[in-house]
Amino acid sequence: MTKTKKTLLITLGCSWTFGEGAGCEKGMNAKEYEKIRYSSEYAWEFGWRRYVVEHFDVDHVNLGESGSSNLKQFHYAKNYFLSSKFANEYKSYEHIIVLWGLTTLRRTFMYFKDSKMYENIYLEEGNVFQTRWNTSRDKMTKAIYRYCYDDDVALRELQSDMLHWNQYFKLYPKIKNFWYDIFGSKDYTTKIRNLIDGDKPKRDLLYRICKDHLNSEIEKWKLDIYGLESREKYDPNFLDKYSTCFGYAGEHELVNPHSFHPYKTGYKFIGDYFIKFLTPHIENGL
Amino acid sequence: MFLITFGDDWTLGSGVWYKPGMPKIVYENKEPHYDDSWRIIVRDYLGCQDNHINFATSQSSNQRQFALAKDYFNSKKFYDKRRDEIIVLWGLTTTRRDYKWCSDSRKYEDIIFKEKYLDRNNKDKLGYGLNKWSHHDDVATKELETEIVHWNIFFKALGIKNYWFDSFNSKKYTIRPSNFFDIRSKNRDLLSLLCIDHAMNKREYYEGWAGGPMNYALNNRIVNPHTFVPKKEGHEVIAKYIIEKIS
Repeated sequence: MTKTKKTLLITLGCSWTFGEGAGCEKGMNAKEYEKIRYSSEYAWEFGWRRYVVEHFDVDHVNLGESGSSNLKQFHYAKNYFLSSKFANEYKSYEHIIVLWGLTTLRRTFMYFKDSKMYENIYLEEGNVFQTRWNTSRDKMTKAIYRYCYDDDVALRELQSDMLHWNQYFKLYPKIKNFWYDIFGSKDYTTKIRNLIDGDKPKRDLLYRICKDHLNSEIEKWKLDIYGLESREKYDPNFLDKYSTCFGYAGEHELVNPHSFHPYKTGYKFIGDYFIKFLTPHIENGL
Repeated sequence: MFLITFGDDWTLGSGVWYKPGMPKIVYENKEPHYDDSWRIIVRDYLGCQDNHINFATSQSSNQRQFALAKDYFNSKKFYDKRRDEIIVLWGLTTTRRDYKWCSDSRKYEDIIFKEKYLDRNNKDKLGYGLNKWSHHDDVATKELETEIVHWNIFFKALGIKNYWFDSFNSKKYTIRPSNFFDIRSKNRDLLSLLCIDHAMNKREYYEGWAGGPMNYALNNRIVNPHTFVPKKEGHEVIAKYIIEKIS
């Protein structure tokens, strides 16, 4: 293993990057789970970031958080990369790696006058139509979903942001940045050179966990049933059309039944995946 | 030199064809031409007759301009340019606008925030909702500040010279970027510039500042009465101001 103490790892993404539910044990009931679900300690202890950080012995800043949308992460990034904190870090470190996880397209965030804060908005159909339309967030969720949301448009906007940030990071010679899909492999229409496994049709972390399970369980006959490889069989009511593996993952207890996040073994698998991916980059001196 | 402009009507040059007394119907049916706008005067001053891209659009939101900028600076068109020869002039409009793709028109629309609910189309409904539940001046200004600094870093690293200005309202920024025209002045926007110019140079003015710059401008016929944008003479004043700032 190469010692790279002078490297800073910056992570962005949603709950899967944060490590939500990483303390979950199989058999835990909903009440027990809620107690540990957002625990930062468990998220660090059993989430994937620690494995990567400890393996490469790097320092670490995490901007990923539960419920985050891609738009919120772009917003956080804008504020973080213009901060004096980052300016100091840029001076202090020889190398900076940015690992940026892309979540479902069907999320956004917005400032609300009544709560006087930014709130996450979930545009999954189930969510949109289960709300009671009492709060301003409910009303805006409904309005956005009905009047101005489209998966393809959202994907195009995401790509534009990815290309913009690629160009932005290129201006910093010490930074090397990579993108990864979290729980849905999007059909990008532009080639993003630093999208991890971008040349593969399915590349997201959830798919990787499922595929690994599938390979080890000799259950290849279930491929079509669960739509693991079949884009047409997506459930339009569940997240965006690119998220196709939750059925399989749930059925085989690869994610917890409460919030559909990986168990400890899943997070460890993701950590190993990133270690394998980053090793040549780090060993080649970035 | 290559000139790139971003902004709203005030940068595009909408209404520069207005002549005193022109009826609304004539004004609205005139073929738009921007030859007398400050943008074209500045372009010609810089010798950029064939080297100018304008992204400013009528009633544009700041969000539209940021989206267009992202696409342009991501594009191959931009990669071919010599960056040290580029000047970006970016006019910031009111924060009471947004930019969203609308499912009824199936295209991007500038959303104008409205107090009154109108059921005509998605952009009106969104304009009402955003105004009622989400828009807060301070928050929107803070978001705008983040964009300004973000793009300043981006342009600086690329070796591009860029300048900002407020178009028709001066926002209460908490940052003081050196490339923002008259950032320390309370009335730094182009509308105020025209009003101040008028007040300083004309003896007979109709009213004071109490009603704000737009009322002053309307009462003193500084902007056209149909769409409240500068007339040809106003564009000349703005062009002089901008040329002075970038020279």
